[in-house]
Amino acid sequence: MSGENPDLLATAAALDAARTALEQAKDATEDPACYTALNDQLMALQQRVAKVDSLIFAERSQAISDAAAGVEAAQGQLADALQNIQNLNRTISTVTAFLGLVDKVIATAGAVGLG
Amino acid sequence: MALFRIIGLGVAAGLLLSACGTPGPIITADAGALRTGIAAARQQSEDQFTAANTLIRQRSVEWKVAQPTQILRQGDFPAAVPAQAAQQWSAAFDVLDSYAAALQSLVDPKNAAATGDAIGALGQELNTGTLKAGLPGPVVAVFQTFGEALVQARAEKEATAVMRSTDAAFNQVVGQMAIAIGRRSHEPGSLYDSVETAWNASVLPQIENQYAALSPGDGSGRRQVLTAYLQAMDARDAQLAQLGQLSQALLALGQAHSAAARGKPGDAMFWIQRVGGWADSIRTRAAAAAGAPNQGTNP
Repeated sequence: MSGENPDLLATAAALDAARTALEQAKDATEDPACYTALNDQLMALQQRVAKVDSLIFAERSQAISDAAAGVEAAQGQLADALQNIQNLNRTISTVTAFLGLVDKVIATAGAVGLG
Repeated sequence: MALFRIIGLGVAAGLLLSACGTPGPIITADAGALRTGIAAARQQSEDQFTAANTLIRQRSVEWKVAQPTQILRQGDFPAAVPAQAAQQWSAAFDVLDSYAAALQSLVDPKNAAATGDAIGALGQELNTGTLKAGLPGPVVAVFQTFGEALVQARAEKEATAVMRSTDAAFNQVVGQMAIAIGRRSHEPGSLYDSVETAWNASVLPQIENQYAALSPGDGSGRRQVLTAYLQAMDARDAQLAQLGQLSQALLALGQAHSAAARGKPGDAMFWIQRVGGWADSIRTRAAAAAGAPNQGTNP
């Protein structure tokens, strides 16, 4: 993904690997003291994961914001196309109104004896 | 009259052929569905952001309370979704919604209907005014209907062209959103990862340690902790499932946009139905013209 900090991603991957290792160690022990100590390590690790993931999410959100500009550009094209249709309707209506106006002029001319 | 009928049928056949050759699908419904999907994804993401931030903050509080240090820092409480990121998502959804709304406006059949009405008014003026053109009602109806149909076809073609040129950017936005959310375990850096780690490496271990601290003879205490443990597992599964669904919904939005942009396999059927609709419209307008006064030299 573009715009991502590889160091942050590598750190996140390392934390994920550490979490997996701690969970495997938990599965392998029957000693409550060891199990509790491993859990304490997991909880300490979770705090680091939260901080690193927060930074990565912020970076990705910036990339999303940048990419949205590409979609925004399309709105101008859509607005132009809609304007073309509205211009066509306006042109036809204008012709109709013009013809009506001409009719009135001709009728008036006829009424005053010019027709 | 026979001449007008022949002209009318010839024009109708020509327009039908040109309209059938238009590659654009009927995207009016697709644009509406797209907009609805965007609104739903936005709501779902806001809900998930709130839930994730609440969870991560609670874990930070628990962690802080357990630490011997007397120093308190803002940095002790990371947000799963920082405020600025939430604003950027909101702005991106604004863009997607505006884009879908512009698509909807362009292919709105009301625009084409306005053209049909304008052509009908022009025909009326040509017949009733000084020109006394004497256009037969059915011919006016044909022009009205096909003028409307062509404007609609043109709008759909332009909308489809814009969708095609925007498809990569649209999919980049929703694709990156889907990656940022994540949808399975071991996707480091995703929101899914933050939430899963909070549950599996903090909430559940804390309860496990509470259980470990209890005497084996304390059945009541153990039962209470076990209940909390199972409830936490259920809550974890529900939250992760919702995040996975959100990620999939975002990807599906991109797929829906691509499908609408490139047309669907059922295009031909859409057009056949559309042609049938045009024929009905011609019949309705011709009947209305036949019953209306000042509509030319009806037979």
